[in-house]
Amino acid sequence: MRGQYVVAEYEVLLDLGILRKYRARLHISGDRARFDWGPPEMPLDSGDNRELRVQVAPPDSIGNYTFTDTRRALVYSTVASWEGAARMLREPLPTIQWKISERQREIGSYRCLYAEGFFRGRRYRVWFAPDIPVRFGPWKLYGLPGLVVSASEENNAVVFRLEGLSPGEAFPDTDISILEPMDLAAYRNFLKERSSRLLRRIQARMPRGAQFRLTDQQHLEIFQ
Amino acid sequence: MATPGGTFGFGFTVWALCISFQLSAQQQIRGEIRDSLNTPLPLVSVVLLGAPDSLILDYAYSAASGAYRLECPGAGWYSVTFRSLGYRTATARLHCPKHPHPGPHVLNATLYPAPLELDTVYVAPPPAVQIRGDTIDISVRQFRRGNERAVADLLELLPGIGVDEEGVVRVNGRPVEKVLLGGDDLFGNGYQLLTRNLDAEVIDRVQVIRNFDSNPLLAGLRQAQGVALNLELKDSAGASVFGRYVSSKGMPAGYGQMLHAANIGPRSKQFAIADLNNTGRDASGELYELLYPEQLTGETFVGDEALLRTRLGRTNHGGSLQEFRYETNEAETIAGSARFDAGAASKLHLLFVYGGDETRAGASATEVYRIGEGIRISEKMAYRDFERAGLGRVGLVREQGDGRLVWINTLKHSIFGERQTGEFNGRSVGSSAREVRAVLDSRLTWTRRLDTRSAIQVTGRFLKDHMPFRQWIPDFSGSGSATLPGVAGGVEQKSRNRLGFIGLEATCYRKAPTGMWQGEVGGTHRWETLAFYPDDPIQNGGFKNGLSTAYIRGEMEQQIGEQLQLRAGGALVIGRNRYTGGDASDSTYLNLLPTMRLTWTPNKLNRVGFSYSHDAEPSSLQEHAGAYFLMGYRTSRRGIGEFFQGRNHKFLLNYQYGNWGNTTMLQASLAVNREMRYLGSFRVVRPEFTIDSRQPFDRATSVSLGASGNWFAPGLESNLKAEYHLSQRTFQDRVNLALRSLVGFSTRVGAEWRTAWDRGFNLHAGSRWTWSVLRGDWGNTAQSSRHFLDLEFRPRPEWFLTLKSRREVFRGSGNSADAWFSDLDIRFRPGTGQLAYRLGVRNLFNTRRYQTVFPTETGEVSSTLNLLPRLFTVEAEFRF
Repeated sequence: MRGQYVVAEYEVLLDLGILRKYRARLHISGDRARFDWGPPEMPLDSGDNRELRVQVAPPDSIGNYTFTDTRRALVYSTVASWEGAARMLREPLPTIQWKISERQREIGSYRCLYAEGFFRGRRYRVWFAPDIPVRFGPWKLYGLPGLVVSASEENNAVVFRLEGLSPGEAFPDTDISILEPMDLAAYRNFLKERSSRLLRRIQARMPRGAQFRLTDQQHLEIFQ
Repeated sequence: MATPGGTFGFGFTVWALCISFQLSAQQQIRGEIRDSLNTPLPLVSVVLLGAPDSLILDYAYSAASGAYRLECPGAGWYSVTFRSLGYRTATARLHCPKHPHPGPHVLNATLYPAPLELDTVYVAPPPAVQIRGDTIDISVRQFRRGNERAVADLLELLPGIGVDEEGVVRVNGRPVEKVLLGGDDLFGNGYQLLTRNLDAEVIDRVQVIRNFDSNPLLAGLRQAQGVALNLELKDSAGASVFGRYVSSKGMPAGYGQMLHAANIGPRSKQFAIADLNNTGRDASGELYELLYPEQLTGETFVGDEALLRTRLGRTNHGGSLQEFRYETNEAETIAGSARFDAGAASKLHLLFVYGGDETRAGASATEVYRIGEGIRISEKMAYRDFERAGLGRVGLVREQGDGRLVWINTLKHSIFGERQTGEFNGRSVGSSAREVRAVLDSRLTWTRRLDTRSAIQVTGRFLKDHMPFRQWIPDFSGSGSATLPGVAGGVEQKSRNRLGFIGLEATCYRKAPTGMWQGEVGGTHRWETLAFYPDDPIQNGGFKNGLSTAYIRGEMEQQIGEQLQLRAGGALVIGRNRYTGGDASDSTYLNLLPTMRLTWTPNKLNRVGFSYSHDAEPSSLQEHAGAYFLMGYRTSRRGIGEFFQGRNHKFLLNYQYGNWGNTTMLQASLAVNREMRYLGSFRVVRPEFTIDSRQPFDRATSVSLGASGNWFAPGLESNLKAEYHLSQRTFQDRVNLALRSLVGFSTRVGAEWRTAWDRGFNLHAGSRWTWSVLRGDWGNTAQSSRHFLDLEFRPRPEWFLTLKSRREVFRGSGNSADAWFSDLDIRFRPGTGQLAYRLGVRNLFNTRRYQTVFPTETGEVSSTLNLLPRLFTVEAEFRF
């Protein structure tokens, strides 16, 4: 097992107000994995043009990457702020209670099983391949007995689709110490305040009399 | 670790699955996983499955110590699977008792290394068809059935692409100019060597290149109208030598051997083929067309028309049958094509083709000749054709900076012959002819890109064509009727035709903000001689012709708004012709030849085009000379007439809806051609009658209407194609001094349905009906229909069974005929990416005769051909 290094390529669709697409890569090596989001591709047309909406699309924990270290049972994610500074979210390895059903399907040449799990306010429907025995999945979808081949949130706000799988050569250098760390509680406050700060900054530049209000916030992770 | 009473029969499992297990009965299952060196293995996926339904009941990953723990949910049989990347998967069965022991089950495992094998996963496959500018990229994976042999079989499955019965690849009905392999042209007009033989399995993508331009320096500066295909290979084929071997054995005497091999890399490409058979298989397409392409579909070049015309009939005795149908022929083909990088800026292309064939086709034909009073002709002929031809070509491409030089030299040598023996109205007749040709063709193209908007190109060509011809007719005038003067009994005619050509032209290309234009100036000289041997009984002396032309040609293309595109041009040709012979003449002419095309594209889905062109085609000395040529045992021909063999006006209106990205594609076109064409006169001389026929076609008009639709129903995963064609042609000719008017009318309707279900069963069924009517002072109708049903069955991924059936029915003038053909094909491919083997049976029901009925301008012809008996083929792919 040691020394086996696999790279899985995912297409990621995020419909959090603005439909965005990513070409992400999941690097898996032994007890660690790194999910690189890659740059977002051009915003996609969701087909809903009936109203003009100014979208505030903070990148949530979608910074550059999410690094999972199972030896220390920790997950690190880069978090971008509006000010341009990046910080590092450090959280315990999340435990997702996956419910595996008897449903099966062949995807590519792999026999896949169906599972459902609830994580950070969203229910994910997942097809995974037991024949690829890694417990990592895209982003933080961790803990299944096989690689996640397809995962979609029940409202299709978040979709991960595996597109390619190949042996890798070298795990990317990951230095988690260079960014200022934050814990999960700080991250929740950070999410709350980030949009408010943005609102104040926009209002400061608006002409007199213009109204601007924050209606709803959609995040990849929803905290109650 | 194992308790004596708890350890039970895992020995067999240990042996079979390369793991070792020890178990004690307990609801909690624990164990350690080690590798073959007894080192603990962490991160191994351990999954507990219910025995009856394989439902995952619990799972875990082993810790750094290799230890794991599972919970057995209740009493019963279970299986435990151990998986780790880079190790062989192991499985063990275990039983959890109803009354658990106080201690845990211990189930240890040993995993053995295995190569890391990962198959690419396509969860959301990219669209099968992607359109990027002028290139339509088709991923064949989603269209492939799995039982295709050669590339041509695969192309037929792709939307918008078809392969006709002659092997010509068409895109939306238009013949393609070239078929490239990995971006390189290996066979030019002879691309059928590639499409008929290259293994379909190695193809990954097919790219349709609209507005194809073979010269990259001129891309974007001229509006190329051609269509080309580019075949992109799978990565696995790139670094290997791959190919296919086919061996056939017929009952009783058929045989066939074909071997092709290829090595296609980015810097060099080689393709070679050898084929030997007597089964009617033509590895090269029509060899004559490959060597002497008189119907050019590709990019035109100065001097393309300057080739001697064959005087052989080139009859296709096999009709429209598929390969492996004819009874007897002996074809042999050896061909090789290679492209190399010759230094940093140069590329070298070598092409060699040798082909030979000998065909013995027995045909019995009955022709009813309707001139005045109906004359019935009964003709039973046996044909024997032979051909030996070789072509060698060396091409050099040198690209440096903004300049590009292409120099192509071709040598051809060929011997073609035909012999007919048989009966004509109960009388023994026959004839034989032999044509020898030697051609040297040297072409030079120099292109320079001046800046981003303009370029110049100079092309030159030198060509020599030498064609001795011999015609031998044992009994030309046995009837004693009025025939050629002085001819009695057997007659032999020998002639020698020579042609030389030199041409030079310069072209300037300029791109403007809303369009582009090009101007061309050139001059050519063509000299031709036709000499008969002194002892020729019907023709003495010789003829010479010299034709010099100078021309200016201009063309512009303008975008008008966003939806309209206009292309207009014209040529002014000044020529002088000096003809020396029995009726010597010296003439000068001036021709203005306009062309125009207007395209309206209101949106991405709809496109309407209208075009008009006027053309004049110079005649060769064969048509121009006042010489009598023997054409067969009952035909002589004299070419007399004007200097231009034909003039025509062509109008075309077409409409296209949809594209490859849509589920619906429609196409309709209306073409009107008005021809003024001169073909000379015929004298048919045989026992019962003599007919002089002159066919100036001076008022020939043809109208054709075509429509086709292509629908893909995603829900049914099925594709339906339908087509309708209507054509009418009217013309006049003169027979035995009597003027007659003829109207030919033909309509064709057809549909086919193809399913594309993932697994198991698929079908492809279709029908096509054709009605033909010819009316003069008599009427003649004929009907033919073709029905086919292909059944495909894939019980397992590695097995593929195909049963193809086809029925052809002909009716005309009270005659009717039909024929059935069936082929069975069994393919076995052990695994994805592995080599395949095939066993095929052609002509399963051993149909031995093929009878057709077709109307002609003078009546109708019914002919019968003998077919190849049942044939077995074995085929294997190879790669190393």
